[in-house]
Amino acid sequence: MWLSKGPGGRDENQNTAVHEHKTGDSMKRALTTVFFMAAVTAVFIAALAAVNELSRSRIRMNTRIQELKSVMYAFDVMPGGMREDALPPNASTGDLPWNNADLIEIRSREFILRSVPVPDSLKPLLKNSFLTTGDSVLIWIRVDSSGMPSAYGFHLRGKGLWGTIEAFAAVNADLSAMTGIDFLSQVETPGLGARISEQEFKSYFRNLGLGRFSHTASGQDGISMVRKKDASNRQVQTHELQAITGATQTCDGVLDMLNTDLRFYLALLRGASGVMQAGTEFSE
Amino acid sequence: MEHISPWVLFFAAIFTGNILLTFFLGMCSFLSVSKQLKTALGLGLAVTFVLTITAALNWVVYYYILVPAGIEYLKYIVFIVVIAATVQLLEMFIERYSELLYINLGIFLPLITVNCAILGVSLFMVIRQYSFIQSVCFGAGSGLGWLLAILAMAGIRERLNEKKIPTALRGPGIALIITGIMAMAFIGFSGMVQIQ
Amino acid sequence: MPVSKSMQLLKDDLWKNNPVTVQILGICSTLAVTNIFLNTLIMGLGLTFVTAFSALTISLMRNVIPPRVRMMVQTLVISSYVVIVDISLRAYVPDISRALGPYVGLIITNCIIMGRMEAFASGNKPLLSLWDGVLSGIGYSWVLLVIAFVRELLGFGTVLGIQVMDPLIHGLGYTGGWVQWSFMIMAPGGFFMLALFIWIANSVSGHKLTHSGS
Repeated sequence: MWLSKGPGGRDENQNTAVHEHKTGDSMKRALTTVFFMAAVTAVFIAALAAVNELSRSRIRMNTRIQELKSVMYAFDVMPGGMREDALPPNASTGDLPWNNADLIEIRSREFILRSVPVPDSLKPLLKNSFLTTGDSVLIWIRVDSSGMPSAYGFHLRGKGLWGTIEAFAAVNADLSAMTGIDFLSQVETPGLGARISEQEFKSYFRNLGLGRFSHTASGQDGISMVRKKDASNRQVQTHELQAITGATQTCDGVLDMLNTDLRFYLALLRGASGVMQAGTEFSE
Repeated sequence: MEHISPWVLFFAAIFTGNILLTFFLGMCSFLSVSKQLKTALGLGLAVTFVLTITAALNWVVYYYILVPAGIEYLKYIVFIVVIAATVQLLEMFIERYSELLYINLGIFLPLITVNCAILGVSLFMVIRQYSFIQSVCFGAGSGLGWLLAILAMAGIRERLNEKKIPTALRGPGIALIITGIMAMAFIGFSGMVQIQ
Repeated sequence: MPVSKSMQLLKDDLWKNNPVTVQILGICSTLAVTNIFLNTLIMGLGLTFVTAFSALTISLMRNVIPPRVRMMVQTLVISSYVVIVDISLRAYVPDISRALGPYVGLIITNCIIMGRMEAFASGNKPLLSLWDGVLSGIGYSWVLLVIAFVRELLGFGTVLGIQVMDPLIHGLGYTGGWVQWSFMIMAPGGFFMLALFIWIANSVSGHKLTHSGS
């Protein structure tokens, strides 16, 4: 079988040892071999570099569109004529039938990005989280037709079982409920933890109550998870999410991320009365 | 990602997220070399060893050569070359210095270059942004997890020889069913901590 | 290219000597994504592309490759095509590329490709090798597509992401909808489905097909 001999092969090493005295001939052959290998490698690498160069701008565009789709999902902005409850439970954000021009148009019409400075009093909260932002954080603001903010969005960062989980969350203007969440990147186990990116799990974030964050009884988490929820938070508002069976570590990670990061962001937004004025305009 | 303890990764890679039973990596040699305990042990040890070393080497190569040069897209080629070269060097080294080790481990080394678990661990390590220590622990854990799986499999298959199995299911068929049952058992590890 | 030989290859690669059911080769890189049909389809296409063009390239170079570096050149050729597949996926179907994660790269270590290079492409004419590569890829993909179809149908109740089990159950007059077999989405479902497929394939063909392991 072909497997029985590895690349290069053992017997050939012995060959070289035996024929060492016939230097002239074998030297020439070895040089040809090395030259051949180098030439083939150079040709293939050059071809790959060309392919990479040609697709670079397209891939960068894709990344931007992907982020916008997630932001829209978290803000509960659906592509025209789309009803969210028509989505199958395993749908991901990529399945939404957006067209790129609409995305970019809505982004510039309804959203403002602000870089908001973090006051010293909130620095300790930031330190407890996995957020990597320094002195200021980026806040997405959705404005209604009269120019008043209707929701705020921001990035979350936490750890799952296998690695970093990055998410984008949005809350309503009076900070009483979540508008939605989307997971930007995660590397959890397929079929288990990775199901946080599916519609079913994310649907419980819509209208999730944030009341527990404002009267901060110590030792009580702002959001908790239960094994089975009878109704969505849209129907009956609670501060509970439905966990994924068999993905304990991932769910704990998500919960931890929410409770630490939301505490920080909610405090920041509450403090900066009128975030619209507080921050400086941020252009991408 | 610096916040996950290397120890957690080490044990997670063995039990909750076994590289073979959860991620399907290294199936070919798992199915064809799991007929006897002794050979399974040899191959498993060789895989663990190579996995740990290549995870470390590929981490250094990726973060100190590929990233600074901006050629991350070539990682597949570079990783497989590093793995093939490591295996080749190890084979020559073992052959020269220890005949005993060569007979027990060396003969499995050529099989390892094509074991997808090795390349898989290097790719997972990059995608999950592990630090050096995390990568080494993840590599070692994955190797031990694979060893555990193939040992259990060989033990079961040795006892299967005399059993009555439908003709069409003999060989790989029954082996896959056993693997499935093992995978189910291993899923049990991920529910060890209850949510509320 | 000789017609009889091409036909023989067609029969061998698709059924009689199928890489998955008979040779049990190369399942690692793809079995993992068989819980969703579309992902499996894309992986299958990628693998077929890599196998076919690697076979063509190796066959074209077969008389000039120094024997000592044969395996190295093969690996280089295969991994180059895999990088091309990876870049194209990221450029044109980014969502699927994200879902496939590292498994695209693992096509390199898929034993089928190396096996076809060694057993066929390095000793046959270019066009015949290309044909063999395409067929091996298809022979491999169709088995996994059948598995993916069943896994997605039972696991999510969907076909290509469209809910079919719920309407079916309502149509039969039951309420409550389809209860997802989450077991099918997880790894054991993949193992059991492949075992079942091999069992059926061996039974249908009437005798136990030999495989490389025995």
